[in-house]
Amino acid sequence: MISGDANPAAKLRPLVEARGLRKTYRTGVDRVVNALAGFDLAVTEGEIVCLIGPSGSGKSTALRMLNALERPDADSGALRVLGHDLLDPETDMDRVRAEVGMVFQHFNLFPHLSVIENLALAPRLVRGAAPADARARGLELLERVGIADKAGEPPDRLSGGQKQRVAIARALAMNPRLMLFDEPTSALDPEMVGEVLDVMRDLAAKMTMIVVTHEMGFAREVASRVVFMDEGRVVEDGPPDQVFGAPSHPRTRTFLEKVL
Amino acid sequence: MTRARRRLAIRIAIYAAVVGLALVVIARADLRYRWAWGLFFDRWAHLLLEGLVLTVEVSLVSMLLALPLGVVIGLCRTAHDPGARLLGFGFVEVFRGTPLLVQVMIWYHVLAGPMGLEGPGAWLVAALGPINRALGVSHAVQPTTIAAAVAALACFAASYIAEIVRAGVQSIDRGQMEAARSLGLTHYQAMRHVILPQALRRILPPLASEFIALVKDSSLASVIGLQELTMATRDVQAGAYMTFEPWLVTAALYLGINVLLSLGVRRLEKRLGVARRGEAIQ
Repeated sequence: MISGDANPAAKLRPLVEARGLRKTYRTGVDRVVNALAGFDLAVTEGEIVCLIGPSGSGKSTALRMLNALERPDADSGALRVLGHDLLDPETDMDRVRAEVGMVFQHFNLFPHLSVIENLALAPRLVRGAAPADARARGLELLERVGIADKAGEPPDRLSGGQKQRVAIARALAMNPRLMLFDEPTSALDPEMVGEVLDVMRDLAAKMTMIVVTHEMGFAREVASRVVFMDEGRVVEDGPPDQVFGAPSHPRTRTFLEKVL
Repeated sequence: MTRARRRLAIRIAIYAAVVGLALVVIARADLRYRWAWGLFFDRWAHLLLEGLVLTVEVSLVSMLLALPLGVVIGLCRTAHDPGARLLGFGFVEVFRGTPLLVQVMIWYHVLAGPMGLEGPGAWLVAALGPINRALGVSHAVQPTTIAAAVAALACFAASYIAEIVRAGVQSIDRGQMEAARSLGLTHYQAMRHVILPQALRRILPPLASEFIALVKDSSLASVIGLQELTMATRDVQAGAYMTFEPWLVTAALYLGINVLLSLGVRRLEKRLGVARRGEAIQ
């Protein structure tokens, strides 16, 4: 079973606390890009947060920081994920990543391993699971995302939608307490978007999720909160009805007019 | 006859004509040389086969050392740690940037004594002893000589393998490393189980070239007195006053080893399913 049972007391626990996160990239000798310019976000257990905003607004950078794939600048405020302080160099980032699941835009399945081996690898190596147990649990998860029949296939035999469902199952195999999705449907053919969103919708009932997405329909329907970002900052943060129905900031309105 | 078949037939005819012409030229050339194949095979050929045994042994042992060493050095060059990167860079530049002949001399004359290469050399000689006796290799192998030869060949080949490995690792999409790390794997685990298995498939062809180069380069061990194939050939030339027969046979023997090596790697490529990528489209 997927972890994160939704009892009311647990719902109050903050899983993510980000304050004043900054990230600058040096792109030339004296050219600097501010990917994040003071990013704030708090997420409590059970929430489904959708990050939206124009490209280059820092959504992906912010998401990747929550999994320690990007390091914030030294003058950042605070970043705690699942109780770990990610700004502290002493923190074991591998342990944090093991507890946080991540799904990428381009799936990033391991092409040299079969589907079931993709799922079993991390539980075996990181948790020391017995190979048979890891495979049994992997099959269970493949069943849930509806592709148990592909367990023995190499990833390149799958359609885009199937690949992304395997990627979701692979992340779930580590029993994460938080799932991050980085534009999970952006690389898919239109007719395959639905099957991936269906799996995510199912998952949303039992999991805390942060989703960077351009799927406004999904955000409106599934999100408990929608966060609009622009130029490396959170511009608007609220329930979907409010952000989509009555956006308070002109930049949010301009963006939504373009995409809706 | 289809168009494709007609084109194939024309191509085969052209190849046959070229090869035929070359054979006629060689056969008609006056080499002013009295062949003595009978004498050669009766009295001298076995010395070349003894040399061949040593060439294969030294090449194999060097390969077995060069591959892991090259992988480690190559990974050092892609490492985050600046010390490791500098070590990898230094190793590659030193062993790739000087002639192998000079390196063989330095290993044998300069380094072998202070580094105590005689010990591992003696161990290697003892390990190879039963094989050599079974194959009828008559002369004794000096421990220091074989150790210096193996050390020189292994380090030299490792410096090239390191660059091949680095290129292979860097050719793997960044998303693979990110996906592996996002699941909680350490950098080492991600390298070992995700990046390297994919990289090694890609670098099999250049690795095969490196192994073939290693077999040929082992001939340089003759300068420190290792009785490998090239040294044996020179001995036969001097002892038998024959030149053409031993050298042509030796060339054929090297070619034979390397063709076998090529075919072996090719089979490995097929088994791993990489051979079909990039195949021509008809």
